[in-house]
Amino acid sequence: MKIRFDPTRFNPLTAVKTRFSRMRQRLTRTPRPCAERPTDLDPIEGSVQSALQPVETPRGFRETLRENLAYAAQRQQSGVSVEYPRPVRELVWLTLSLGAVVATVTTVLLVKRGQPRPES
Amino acid sequence: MQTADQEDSAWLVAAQKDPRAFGELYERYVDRIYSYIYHRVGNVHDAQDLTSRTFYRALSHLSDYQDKGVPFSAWLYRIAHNLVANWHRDRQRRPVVALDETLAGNLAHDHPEELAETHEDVRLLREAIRELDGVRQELLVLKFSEGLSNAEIGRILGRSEGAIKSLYHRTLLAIRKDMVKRGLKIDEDQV
Repeated sequence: MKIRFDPTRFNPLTAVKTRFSRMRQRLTRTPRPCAERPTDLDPIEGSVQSALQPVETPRGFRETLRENLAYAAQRQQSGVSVEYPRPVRELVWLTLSLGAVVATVTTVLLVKRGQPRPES
Repeated sequence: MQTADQEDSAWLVAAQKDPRAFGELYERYVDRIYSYIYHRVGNVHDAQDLTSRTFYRALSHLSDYQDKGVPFSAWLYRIAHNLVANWHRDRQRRPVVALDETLAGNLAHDHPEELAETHEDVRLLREAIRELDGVRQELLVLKFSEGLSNAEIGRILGRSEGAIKSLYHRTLLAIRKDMVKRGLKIDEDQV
């Protein structure tokens, strides 16, 4: 059987040339700048943005605080130090605690008075 | 034309001379500070309390403020940040991001089933945000709720712009990983 060399099917010179050409392309290729952030994070970014929308300040609170600050600023201008007023909740707890202490002391005193004194 | 920072500086100088001028600075920042605190503490009551404390503290320390390249807004956020950090420390509990009011505003769907599905997705997303550490949560709130740039956030958190950019990227990756774990699909049309 006679094998005939078909240059159209395989040409070693062309193959080598092609390889060198590809290698040269790879070596001389300008590197692509790295993407700042993979685009597949865009959807999660959008979702987080939706979940963290700015909230509106309650109008009543906004006005009250403005008035309180204006009053505090006046006091500061006249040389009085500005202090944040204790919130009502803290005052309630403070009052309840004081009340409990007074009630306990009173009870102890009453109980002690009611006990018969040892005869001397 | 003056920039916002320059205007702030002008008002600040005026307020340092006469504290009554502080009202203008209050008007400029009360909404942003309230929103920031609300997202960090998750309830109206504490958000109001901490917002009040922030402005009282700013007013009483006006004379201490010196413009060393840090804008007034960053100083104010820094006060709020410290108060929120103390709040979390005192309570030793995780912050809750309960944004029901905004949620109601965002979800204007016609179909109840779609509404329920989106509501659940947003809830899961907020859970994922809640489980992030404090700095990451803060970064997200400052970026999305307050619309601050990486450089501005860096000034508030005391980090470089590059560090914030990197942290932001890692935070988004962490959220995505968490969402995948929770079985939530995030796509373009969502929310």
